[in-house]
Amino acid sequence: MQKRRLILSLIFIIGIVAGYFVYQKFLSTSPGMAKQKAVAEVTAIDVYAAFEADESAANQQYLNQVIQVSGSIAGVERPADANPVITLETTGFGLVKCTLEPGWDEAQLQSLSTGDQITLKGECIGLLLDLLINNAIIIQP
Amino acid sequence: MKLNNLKKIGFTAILLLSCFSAFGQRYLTREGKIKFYSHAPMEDITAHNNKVLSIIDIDKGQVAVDMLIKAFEFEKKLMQEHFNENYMESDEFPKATFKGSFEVPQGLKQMTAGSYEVAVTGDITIHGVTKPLAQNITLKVEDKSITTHFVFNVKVKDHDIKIPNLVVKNIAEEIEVTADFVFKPFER
Repeated sequence: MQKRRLILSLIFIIGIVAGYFVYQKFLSTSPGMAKQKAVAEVTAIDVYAAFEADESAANQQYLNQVIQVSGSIAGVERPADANPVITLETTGFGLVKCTLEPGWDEAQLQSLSTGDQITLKGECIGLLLDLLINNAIIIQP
Repeated sequence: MKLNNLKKIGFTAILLLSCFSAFGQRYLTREGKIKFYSHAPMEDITAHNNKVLSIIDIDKGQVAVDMLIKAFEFEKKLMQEHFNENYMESDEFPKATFKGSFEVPQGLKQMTAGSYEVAVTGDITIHGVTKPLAQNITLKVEDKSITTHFVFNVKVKDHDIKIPNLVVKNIAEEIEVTADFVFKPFER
């Protein structure tokens, strides 16, 4: 009798552990950007210049990292089948393009205009001609 | 103008451009669209990347495409994370690239309005694995722009992308890739 109870509780525990493993591995998503900590606070001009000067060194520092970027808005794009993109001015050839994380505030987005100062937080995913930031959220204004 | 611009271009772009002649007629897009579509018994998956960089040189007949894997957007966040973390390993292989060449029809060289079919051959690199790719594409010249739309298939296995047995019915063995590029004269 006791043996049976022991086996049942073992199966129960294994079930919970397996369930947790499956959840962690296959079903959970990473926390939203609001909960992630930025490793650096930079201006769009500086971070673009760093990539322009030495891409591999800048990759070491920023690639796949969450960073907070401030700058002047060069434009706001609303692609039909993708998330909005806020582009920031640089002094280089390209721009810093921040693609917003789903769940943005529509009214806030509408209120942005070219030339406004803005601070965003997001994951730096690398340089093409433009420096791309993903899952960005607006910190300020 | 070109020399001045060249000085300002980042390292990637210089690499990308290194195969082009300094005097070639170059056209560029930084908002190229790549869509992929996976059709499998359990589900259909679509993802879009609207930030693809491509440069075409119509003097030398060369083309280069460069994209960031993490710039693909999926309907579900979970799918996007699995795509990046489990299949494409995009932290390790952040980019997919194509470099190719083609013979330039005379009309295209002179940017005469019309459609030109060209046979592009080159190398495509996905997930760190490079494979040859040959594709017939139509380049449409209108005003000062060159437009193209083409579809091709990529075998997941060819690029050493491993799909676990658990989800083998959710992901196609062959992915359909659709590209839409509008090239403009090369300037900021």
